[in-house]
Amino acid sequence: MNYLQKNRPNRGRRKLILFLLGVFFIGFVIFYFLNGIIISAIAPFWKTENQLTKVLSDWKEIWRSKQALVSENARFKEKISSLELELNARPEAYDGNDTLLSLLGRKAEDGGITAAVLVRPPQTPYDMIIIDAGKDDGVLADSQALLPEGPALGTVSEIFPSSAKIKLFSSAGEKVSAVLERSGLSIMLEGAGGGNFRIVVPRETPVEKGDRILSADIFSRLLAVVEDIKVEPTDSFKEIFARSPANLFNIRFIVIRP
Amino acid sequence: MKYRPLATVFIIIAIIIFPYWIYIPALIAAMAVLPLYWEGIFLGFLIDALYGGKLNSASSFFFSASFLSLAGLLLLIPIRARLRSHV
Repeated sequence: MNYLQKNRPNRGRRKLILFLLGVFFIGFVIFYFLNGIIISAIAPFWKTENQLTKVLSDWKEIWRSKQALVSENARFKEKISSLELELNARPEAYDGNDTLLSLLGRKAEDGGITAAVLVRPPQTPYDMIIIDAGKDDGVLADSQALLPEGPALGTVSEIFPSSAKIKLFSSAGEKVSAVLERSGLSIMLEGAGGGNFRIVVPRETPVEKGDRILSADIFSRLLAVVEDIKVEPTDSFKEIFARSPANLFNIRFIVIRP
Repeated sequence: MKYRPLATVFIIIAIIIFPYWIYIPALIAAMAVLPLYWEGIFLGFLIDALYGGKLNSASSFFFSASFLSLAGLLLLIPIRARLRSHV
């Protein structure tokens, strides 16, 4: 007589699952408490890496005249785009803005803490930036991180003694209040990762490629620029794809303002 | 057996120096090739500790590198049991 084989209890597999869950729990406990220590330990290494990269690139230029010209050209292009960015970030009615600020008893902010960027995308898989200024330098949690040219990039999410993490507005799922400059419509800018944003607005809202999206606060800082608009004939909404005005992959300095 | 520590050291260095499109595929490859690569969970935690934000929602937890490493290893257990390395 033949009997069907019963399901084996498979204890080995259960043990493996329990082992992996145990490893996960231990890892969670260890890394939860050592988070700051790990960053502080690796930050000097990142600083050295940045310096070495700079020295190596300078050294290369001496030996490669053509290459030097190419990189000089690239630097000038970067400078031009930086100046263009500064110009774009400047509010149109500048004097009017100052008057409005004085009426509200607020002052246009100057200064801030300038920090060098240690790690930027694509080294970070999430839209995060690590800077070389921290608690010891006066950086506070939830402070705004701006480009030296003016556009807002994100907020300080974690602070360590000599470094800090900045969560960019373009992080996936991150939402920030903003205003479409053309129509003055308040919108919710949703991060889509890699310096990209997604917005959904009513179909009738006037939007064009190249339109600026400004922060909803009184300083109206540039947050993003409209890159593409998608409208389906049957939809009552349209989807706008915007991009951060800064190239996240080569940001070198950041200004932190409380 | 020597490949395990070598792979771990390479991935740690890659996490610190290289872009994510090098160290994440390397981590996935190590988890797939090496038997029960539990070190992958710690490497996932290292990625989260260095580059991740605060875990302030369930979705941020479920999409963290550490949790995805754990899920990947758990998925690989039954798949590995069904794989035959002989004809």
